[in-house]
Amino acid sequence: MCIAWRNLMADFIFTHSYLIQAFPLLSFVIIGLGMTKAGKDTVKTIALILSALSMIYALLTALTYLFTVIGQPQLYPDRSLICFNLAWLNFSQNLTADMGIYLDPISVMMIVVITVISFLVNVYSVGYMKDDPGFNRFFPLMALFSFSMLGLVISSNILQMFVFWELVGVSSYALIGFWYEKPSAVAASKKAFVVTRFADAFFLIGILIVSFYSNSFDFQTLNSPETAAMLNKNYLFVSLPVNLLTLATLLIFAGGWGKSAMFPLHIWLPDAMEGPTPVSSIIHSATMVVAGVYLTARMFPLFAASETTLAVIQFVGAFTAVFAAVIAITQMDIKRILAFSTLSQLGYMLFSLGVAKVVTTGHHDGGINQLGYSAAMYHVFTHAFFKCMLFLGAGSVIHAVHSNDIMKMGGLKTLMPKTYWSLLAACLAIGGVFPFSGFWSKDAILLAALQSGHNFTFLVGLITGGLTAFYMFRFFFLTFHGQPRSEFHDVREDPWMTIPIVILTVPTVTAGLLEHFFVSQVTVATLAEGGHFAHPGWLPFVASAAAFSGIALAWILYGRGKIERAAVLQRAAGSLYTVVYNKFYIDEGYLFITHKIIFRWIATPIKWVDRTVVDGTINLCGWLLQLGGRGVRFAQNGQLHFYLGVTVIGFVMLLFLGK
Amino acid sequence: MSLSHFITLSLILCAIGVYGILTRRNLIGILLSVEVILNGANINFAAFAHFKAADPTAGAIFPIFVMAVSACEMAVALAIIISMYRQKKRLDVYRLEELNG
Amino acid sequence: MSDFLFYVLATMLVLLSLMAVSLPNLLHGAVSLIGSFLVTAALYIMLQLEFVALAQVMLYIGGIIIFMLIIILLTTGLGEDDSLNRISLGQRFKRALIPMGLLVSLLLFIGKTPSPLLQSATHRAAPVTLDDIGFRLLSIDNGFIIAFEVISILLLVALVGAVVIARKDKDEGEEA
Repeated sequence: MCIAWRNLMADFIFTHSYLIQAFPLLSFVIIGLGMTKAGKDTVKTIALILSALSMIYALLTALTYLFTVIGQPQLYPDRSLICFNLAWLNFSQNLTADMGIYLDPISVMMIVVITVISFLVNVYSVGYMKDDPGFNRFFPLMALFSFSMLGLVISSNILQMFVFWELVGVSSYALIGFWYEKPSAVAASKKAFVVTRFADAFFLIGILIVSFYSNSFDFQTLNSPETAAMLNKNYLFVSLPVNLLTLATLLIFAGGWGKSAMFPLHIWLPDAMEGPTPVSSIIHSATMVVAGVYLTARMFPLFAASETTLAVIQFVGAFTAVFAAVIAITQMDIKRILAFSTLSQLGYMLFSLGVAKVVTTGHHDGGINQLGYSAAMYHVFTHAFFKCMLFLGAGSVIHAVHSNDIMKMGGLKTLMPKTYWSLLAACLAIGGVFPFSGFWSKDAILLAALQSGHNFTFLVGLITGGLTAFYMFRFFFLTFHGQPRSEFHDVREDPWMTIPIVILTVPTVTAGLLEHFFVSQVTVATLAEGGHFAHPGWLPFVASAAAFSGIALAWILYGRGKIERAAVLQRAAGSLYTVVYNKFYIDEGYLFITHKIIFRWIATPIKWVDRTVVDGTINLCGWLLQLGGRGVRFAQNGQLHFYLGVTVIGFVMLLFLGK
Repeated sequence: MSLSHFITLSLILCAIGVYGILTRRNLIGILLSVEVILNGANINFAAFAHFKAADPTAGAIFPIFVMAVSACEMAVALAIIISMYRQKKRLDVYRLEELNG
Repeated sequence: MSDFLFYVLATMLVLLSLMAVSLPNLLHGAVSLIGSFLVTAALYIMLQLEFVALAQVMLYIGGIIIFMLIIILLTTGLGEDDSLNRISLGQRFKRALIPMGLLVSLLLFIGKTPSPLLQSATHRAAPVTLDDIGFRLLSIDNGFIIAFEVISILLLVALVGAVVIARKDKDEGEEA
């Protein structure tokens, strides 16, 4: 009886799981279309209520999922559940695009993360955007983003995911360029959109290839071994052998390459900091940028069938991680430090997915190391909370000090105590210090690398860990310790802003307890484990040593807010410092290519063709019509003699024709 | 005096009439030229009736009909000309352009 | 002898028609048209169609051309064409080409086809009496009774129509 009642409730909750997405959409429609001139209190109330409802429903769904799906492994052997699936577009007899909701461990985890963080950021925004004239515009756009991101993670097929992928890109564009009077914000939003759109073109081609061969868009079909086997053929392309599976999966990964800002498409993420800080905290740290990681995890069985793809992912992730960490050491803008930190952590997540296949030895094909997969998703989970908190804290500091430059800060420990202690917890978490959440997730990633035999990648991860601790504590000490380096006026902690930060401290500290749960449950159920792996005992100590050495170095150079020692080092490094400070001049390289090559050689001829050929053809049609009109007007002049003469001539002509 | 002479004569008269239509600027002048054409056509009928008709009576009746119809046509045309003269005070074909488009 | 008469009458007819279409004064043109009708009647008598000649004189000269003379006198002052400038000589030459073309093509057309129609050209029909014409017009089986009646209706319609068109419009309901 109890079980029947529980199953009934579970059915009800799952069937109406679209409500998780519907609440933010409702918020967007109501506020965005109806209330642009309404009072701030009305807007605030509606936004917060709908966001809270979405969060509550998501948590409810997660709990139900936990008890029914994970609690009954015999009923759901692959731990996944399709809530509903409606046929949407019929491309051909075999190929149909559906709209559906698909719950499995990673999607449930993501909806919890997205809705909780979205709610907390909405609360924070009430305080942050209090004096902004665009207050009424902000909340609907945030709701649109929540709707799109939720749609992305619970999609049941890759085409639906692509639709929401693009929607997320649009929301990000709208929110980065929120302060549209600022030319730098407009430029940044354009850059973000163009770079991600460029990557999405390849994503779409990848979707087309896999759906063409497998006649389906559904993830369950695409991830099956039959699809992998079908695609695993070699073709010759200009006498180069190309494996179709590798090509298709690399193309699909290209979407994630752009969206998760991996090198060299990372250029948009630092500039995206032009948007308001709540935007940076939700979109560019916790949720949207992990869409690439999510895509890789979602398509993992197919990606895993191709060793080359995983190798590429691993290499790109590891390189971006260390590259971004090196640049972050030199940055002065508080949000840019955090942006590069996000890039680095995303690199971690991706290379963790990349090392999920054991190195092949001899004739044995490498088995799958599920730890890589679980560790990546675990890091997404923990990173979302502490990075969001870091951004929110940075926003509080910016709001109080009215500047982004850390060289102008200092001594905020006594002025903003709650923020100080919360951010200390976050920095310890990101640095990987026991027992905070970041320690556990980073440890899992490094362990996965080691277990799969990718020793070099393990080393890179370790070094990056040390660098991460160093630059985060550089940021921390320079902002909060020592004497104020400029005049502060009226530094207060707004309760709307401080409370979410404090709330977020809880998962930052305690999410380490979930490690066992993640490693055992958040796995790819359709792939078998590739063997038993050892857990070397020295690993946590080595990782902690790296973290502590980073913190110690930061304390030596910047402890008590002193910058003189660092200035000495800076002069000693000289031109090397300048190169790193300018982000290795990659932005300048892109500008050069765009202006000198693409504009001059590609865009200008195309513009000429458009103006002369295309417009010319249409103008020609118009001119011909006018010519015809002139001719008819000439013949219809009302002159009797003309008509009669033409009649007689016509008669004569008929005579000859008849002959 | 053979049939072909008469046919040639009637064709010449028709050609003269057409020339008159194309040349006259006054509406009544055009009507005079139309009369010339009709005259030529009538001569054609009469010639054929005389030289070829198996039924000479019918050959004599037909030109009568042509004349009757021509009379009706003249009546209506001249009524129209009177009406136009009343409206526009002129009968110059060059200035009457309502049929233009 | 009859040939010579024919040529004389034909030449007169052509000349009078030319005068009718090209004289600047409309009254002069109308009068030359009267002359051409008289010559045509003479031609009909040559063709042994006396009744047609009679009808020609009565209807055309006695009816149509009189009507036209009245209208000419009503609308122009003694026949002067009130258009300020006639068509220039060059234009007239160009426009003469069209009827010339018509004439030439028709003559060629008729001349080229050797047709039995033109062969038995010297056959003369029997003379027709007025009684015959009367009987034929009104006889039912072999005659033109229907055409006769229709023409009478047509004449009535033309009469009424001409009156309607030419009457003065009342003051209300004026239009072009």
